[in-house]
Amino acid sequence: MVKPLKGITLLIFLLVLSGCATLYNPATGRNEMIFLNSQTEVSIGESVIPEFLSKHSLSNDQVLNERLRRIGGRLANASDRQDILYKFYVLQDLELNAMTLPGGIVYVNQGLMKILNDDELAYVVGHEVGHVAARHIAKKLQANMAYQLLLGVAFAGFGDSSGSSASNVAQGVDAVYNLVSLGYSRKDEYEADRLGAKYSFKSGFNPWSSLTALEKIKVEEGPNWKVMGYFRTHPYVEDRVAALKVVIPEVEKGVIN
Amino acid sequence: MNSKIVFIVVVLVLIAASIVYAVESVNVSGVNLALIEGAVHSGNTGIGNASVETFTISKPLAEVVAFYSVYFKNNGFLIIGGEDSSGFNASVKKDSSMFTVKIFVENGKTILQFVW
Repeated sequence: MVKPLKGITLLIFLLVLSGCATLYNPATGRNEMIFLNSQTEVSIGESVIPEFLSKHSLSNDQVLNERLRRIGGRLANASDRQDILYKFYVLQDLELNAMTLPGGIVYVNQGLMKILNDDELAYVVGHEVGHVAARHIAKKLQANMAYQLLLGVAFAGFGDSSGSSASNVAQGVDAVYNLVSLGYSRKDEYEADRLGAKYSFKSGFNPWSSLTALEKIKVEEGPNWKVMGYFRTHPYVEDRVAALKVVIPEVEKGVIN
Repeated sequence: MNSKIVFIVVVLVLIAASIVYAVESVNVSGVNLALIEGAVHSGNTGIGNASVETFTISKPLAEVVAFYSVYFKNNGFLIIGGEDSSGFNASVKKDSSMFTVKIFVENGKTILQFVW
């Protein structure tokens, strides 16, 4: 009888220590238990950047970067999550893809930027901003990694930089990178689509261009579209198109705001 | 009596001229842009955090796209990103200003839209 009580007390104590709280997330419209606060999430993202950039090169095309920052900046302003600073970078990669690191760092490949018009690009970037706003990354990390390991990654620059501690951090960074690279659940992708359409509309872009964006990417990827670039990490295209056709009129009417 | 009529006519002409002049150019993000002949201002909907200026034009889509492609090229604007076969939808940059220009057909009418 005493043991369960002790366990519950210990659990509550640990939750309080970790700074966890049930918070209302305006992006998802739900109360959510988020263990990772925004500051920790941003720190984890910054720790993963060197690993990410060892595998991807940033584009030094200033005009393309300016185009992405301008469109991304407007979407970020429309985002439900305003407690972090969104950052947008173009990657020197012709594969059609976009991805996000924890803490609001959004990367879009040059190949994707070249084939999409402004409305279509707004949907793709809005979708990534949607993942950030809905805290999909944070929830995925806390569900798949030990809290201590995440804290180790977040505060990598502050501790011992040699021996087993450094090795643990490196493993943690690898684990975060792999989780981010794997993509999201079906449910998260639909939610990011809904938010992408909403943020596009609120930023003056045409949310219906989400449909042409997906179609363009599918055509460009050719017969292997299901295993290539964008759809390797963002599957279920026909279902997403069908869901967007339902969501967009609601966004335009202000049902989803 | 005649002088009164002349005065009224002059005032009306001036008012009409000022209306025509007002739609000959539009200021988008600090840059003055020429408007194609026949552009009628149909709204400046500020959706969310965006400024949107919309014009309806009684000319075919291809003619309006051709006009702005040449206009931007001849006036030192840079067109960045996707140029569509179905119209025009791209970022346009001059000096430190960048904005989106869209030319498309809606309900049979050619629409010119600037978003920034």
